[in-house]
Parts: sequence; C-alpha cells; structure tokens
Amino acid sequence: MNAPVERYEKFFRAWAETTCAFDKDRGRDHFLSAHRAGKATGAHVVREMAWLAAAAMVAAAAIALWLRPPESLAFMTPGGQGQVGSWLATDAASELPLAFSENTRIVLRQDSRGRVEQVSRRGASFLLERGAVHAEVVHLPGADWHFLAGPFEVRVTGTALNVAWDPAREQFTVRVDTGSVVVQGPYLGGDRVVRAGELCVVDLSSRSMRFLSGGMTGTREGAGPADDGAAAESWSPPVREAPGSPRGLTPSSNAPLRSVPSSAAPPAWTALEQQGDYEGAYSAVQRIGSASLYRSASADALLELAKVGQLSGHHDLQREALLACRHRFPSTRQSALAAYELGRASSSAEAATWFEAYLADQPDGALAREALGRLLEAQSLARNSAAARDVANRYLSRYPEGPHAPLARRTLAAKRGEHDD
Amino acid sequence: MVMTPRGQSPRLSVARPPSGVVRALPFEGDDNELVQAILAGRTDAATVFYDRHVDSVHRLTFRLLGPDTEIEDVVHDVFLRALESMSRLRDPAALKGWLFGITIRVVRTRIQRRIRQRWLTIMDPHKVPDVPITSEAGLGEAMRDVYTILEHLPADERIALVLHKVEGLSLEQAAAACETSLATLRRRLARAETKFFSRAGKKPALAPWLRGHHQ
Repeated sequence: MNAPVERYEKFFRAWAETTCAFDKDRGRDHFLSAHRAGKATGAHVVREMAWLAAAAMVAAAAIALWLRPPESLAFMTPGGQGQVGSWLATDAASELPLAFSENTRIVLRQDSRGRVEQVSRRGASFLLERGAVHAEVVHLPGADWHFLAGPFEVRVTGTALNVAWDPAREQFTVRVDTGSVVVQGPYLGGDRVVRAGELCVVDLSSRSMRFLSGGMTGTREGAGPADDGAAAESWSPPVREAPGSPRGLTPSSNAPLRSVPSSAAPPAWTALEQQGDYEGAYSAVQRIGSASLYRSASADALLELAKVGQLSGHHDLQREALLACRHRFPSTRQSALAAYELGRASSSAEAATWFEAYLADQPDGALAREALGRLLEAQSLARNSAAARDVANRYLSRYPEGPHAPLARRTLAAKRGEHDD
Repeated sequence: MVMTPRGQSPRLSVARPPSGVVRALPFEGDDNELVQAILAGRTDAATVFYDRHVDSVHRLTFRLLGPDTEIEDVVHDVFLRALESMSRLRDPAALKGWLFGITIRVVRTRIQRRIRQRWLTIMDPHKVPDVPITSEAGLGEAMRDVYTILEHLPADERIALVLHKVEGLSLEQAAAACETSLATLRRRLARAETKFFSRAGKKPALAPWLRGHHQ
C-alpha cells in the first residue's frame, strides 16, 4: 500500500474513533415519555414548526421577487412519462427515444439496455448496461449530463455523441459528433477529452485504448454494437475492423491511430498474485477495473481475486469477488466455496446465512464439518439461541468427536441450565 | 439485593424484587423476541430496545452529522420512528440494520433541510456548531475542518463517504443502507472523495493529517 493511502486510512481510522458526549439517561427518559404519550413530539418538532413558518414567509418574499426554484428535468418515452431508475430495453429490431424537458434527446439503440439513474435541474445520469445510445444534449449554462457504461463515465455539457458498451467483450466506445466530452475510466490516463469527429475505443481485455482523431467526420446517425450495416454506411469507408472496436464503430484506415499499448500495462494481477505480491496484484486489478473482472473472470479467477482482496486488506474486493462468483456460477463447487469464504468474512448474523448456503450446496463437501462448526459459532455469537441449539444437535449427530463438539455440548447444556432455573 | 437506581430504567440483568412487591421481570431475549415484545406493547422492551441500540445509533449519527446540537434530537427521532414502523419490520433478526437505515434517512433529511436553510442564508454556511468532541488520536480542530467540508457536499455523497470510509461498511452494505445500486454508491463515493481531499488540503488543521505531518 502506498504512503498516501496509508495516511488516508490512518486518518479515517482516527475519524472513526472521534466521539462527543451524549446523555443516554436523558435521551432514554425523553424517548420513553414520548413513547408513552404515543406521539413523536420533541424540541426539534417545535423548532421545525418555527422553521416552517419562517420558511413560508421567506418563500413568499422570494416569489414576490420572481425567484422560483427550478425543477428537475423530466423525460418522456413512447409509453408515457419516464421513470427514473426503471430499466429500458430494446430488441434487435427497435430503438427507444427519450425526450427530456429541456429538449435533450437520447436514443437507446437496438439490442440495448439502460436506465436514467437520476435527474437534476441541470441534467441527468444515464446508465448504459449494454448496447449503445445516441444523445443530443442541449447546451445550457451549467448543464450536467453523465453517461455511465461499465467502469467508464462520460461527462457532457452539450454535444451530440454516441456511447457503446459491450460487457461481453469488455469494449467501450465513445464517438463525438459535435462539441466535446470528458471520459474517465481504465487505460485513459485520467480525464480524456474527446472532441467532435473523434472516436475513443477502450478494450479492457487487451488493455488498450485507441483514439482516432481528424479525417473523420462523425455523422449523427450513430453507431453501436447492434447496427453494423448502418454504421458502415455512416462512417468513412471502413477498411478493417480495429481490434477491440465494438461492432459498428469501425474506424477508417486513413485516420491517425494512436494507441496506448501494453507498455502502460502492468503485469497481470494473476502473475503478481501467484508471486505472493498481493498489494501489487490489487493495484493491477484497480488499473483494469474490478467491476469488469467481476463480470468476466472465471469462477476460479474470482476466488483468486477474493484472495487478493483478503490478503491485501481490501475486503470490499474480497466480498464482491465472492458475491460475483455466487451470482455467475451458481451450483458449482466454486460457488459453494465462495459461500464458505463469505461466511468467514462476514459478521456473525450474516455469516450464518453463508455457512447454511455452503451446507445446502455441498452437504458432504470437504468443508462441511468446518462450515457446520462455524455456523454454530455464528448463531451463538448472534445470540440466536434456538438456532444455535438446532445447529448443535446437527453437529453432534454428525461429528460427535469434531472440534466444535465441546461448544455444541456447552450450547445444549446452557439451555438445560436455563430450564433448571 | 440489586436495587434499580431511582429514575433509571431496568437493565437486562435480573433484579430481584423487594419482598412483598409484585413487579414484572425486566425483558430478556434476542432481537427477535424483543420485537415481538415491543409489538405486544411492553414498555420494558422499549427500554431495552433503546439501551441495546442507542450507542450504535448515536455513533452513526455523530459520524454523519459531526459535532452538532441536533444529535440528541436525531437519535430521539430515530427511535420513535422505529417504534412507529416496527410492525412493518419483515425480519426481526435484522433489527440493527433496519435501525441503521432509519438513522440514515433521518440524517439525510436533516442535512437536506440544512442545505435549504443555507440557501435562504438563515444559517452561516461555514459554521460548525461548537460541540465538544473527544478524539483519542488528537484530531481535535481537524474534525471541525472535516465537517466544514462535509457541509458543502451533497447529502448522498457525504453519507456514502462516512458509511464506507469511517463506519467501515463494505460497498455493498453501504449501497444497501443507502437503498441504492452498487454502481451509484461507487460514483457517489468517488465524487465525495475527490471533493473531500481537494478541499482538505486547504484546511490548516486538517491538511497536516493528510500529509502525515501531524503531531
């Protein structure tokens, strides 16, 4: 871990240890009084009322001064009013236009899926899960539009652009017709500006970025993974398909091609992991983008990735890799192993769920005895006494001489003791 | 004989009643049983509910709001809301996490309300209330810088930063607590970190901490 990260983490730990005085007894009395009275009155409610009265007066003055707070943008789909957060999808034969209240237009291309993630009064965020979108963003002062695709983010203030993301091939493309955009993501070396007529292609699998500029006049009829034919016609004559370019966004041969090749690419994370360099492996994973690995890595690789997270102290990586393994490879040995590791990495209440999942997947698996023992520990720690007794009985019936047998007997004896009292 | 001090509510330990006095035993049981007892109207269960969870609710509230005169109000509000909506709690074993979610919603509302107040310039935008804080690591004044910066972050970004970096929740847990997707949580966190660190470098008490030059 490098020094700044260490310092930041130390700082956050120090922050976590900071506290302030709190009169618990007074709080309890206040709470119980309100509870008995059956109403949620408190000093804050009185203040709230005073505040509301003041706010009403100020608001009236503001209206008098013709100050009206602007509203968030709204958008329409062919089916009616669009809903923020609702998924939108097209098949291979259709497109879906979205019309925003300040006249921005977005077209979800064929065979694509995405959603408007959030809207504000100055713009919106559109998440492209797969496929392509064409957008004509109206340039207004302070416009704030974002297109999100895999690990990439495109910031727009006003422009016409095309964004494509192919999660299966891990290829991202943005082509700008007018204006300019700023792209962030792996292999881009920080914020990268893409201007009118330029095309930026990032291929995560080959760790390369290609940037085409000049000699290309972008056309509005956009391209995307699903419109090969249309794209071939709308672009300058394609001579070859650049490796890593999503279908339909093929660059012309006369365009200058710059690439950010593997000289910038670090050693593969798997090689570093095998060498025991878990910090290095973690850094390599971050450069690639862990999100793309969750989607594309094999089940075994996801377990290795989790190990990198665990041993480098990045438990988010560990957890998410294990969850991805469970999600993408259900009913496999690796998925069961992921459940077991999730149990080991979780708090006691959650751990029980994961150890049960392992036992459901692999009742006679190599780790079944250990999983049942850890399940007993988890239920005991979570103070789920009935569940702990049940697990204790299961454990003793299967492993009367197992390492958790003493705990199981103590668990059952404790219950008998309670009854005796 | 264990006497319960006057004015204090009974705790989990079993206090033997004085002879000749009939008194209900204090509530005992896990969160599952606790929820059932509260729904059955047992006041002693409400007391145990408060005592069992108030520290974690207060800690989270403080981390999100910072030194603030409204903290006690927020904690009060959280517990009352929890009682009011407890009948809708689907999984009583998840009581703590559910309470966590209520805390975040109440705090978010407070922060957003404060932003509205600031818009109307009723409140000094740079003022962090002068509430004493305790920092074992000696952060002291740096914490006031921290919360001055947080006052200028959108509520959702502020919450994402605190939940993940300070409270120690995994990204997935933080996303669930914020009732949002993992991708959205990541973006909020990235924005919050960028803004936080860019502004922290200009704060006289905080900057040395981040440069590793603090005493």
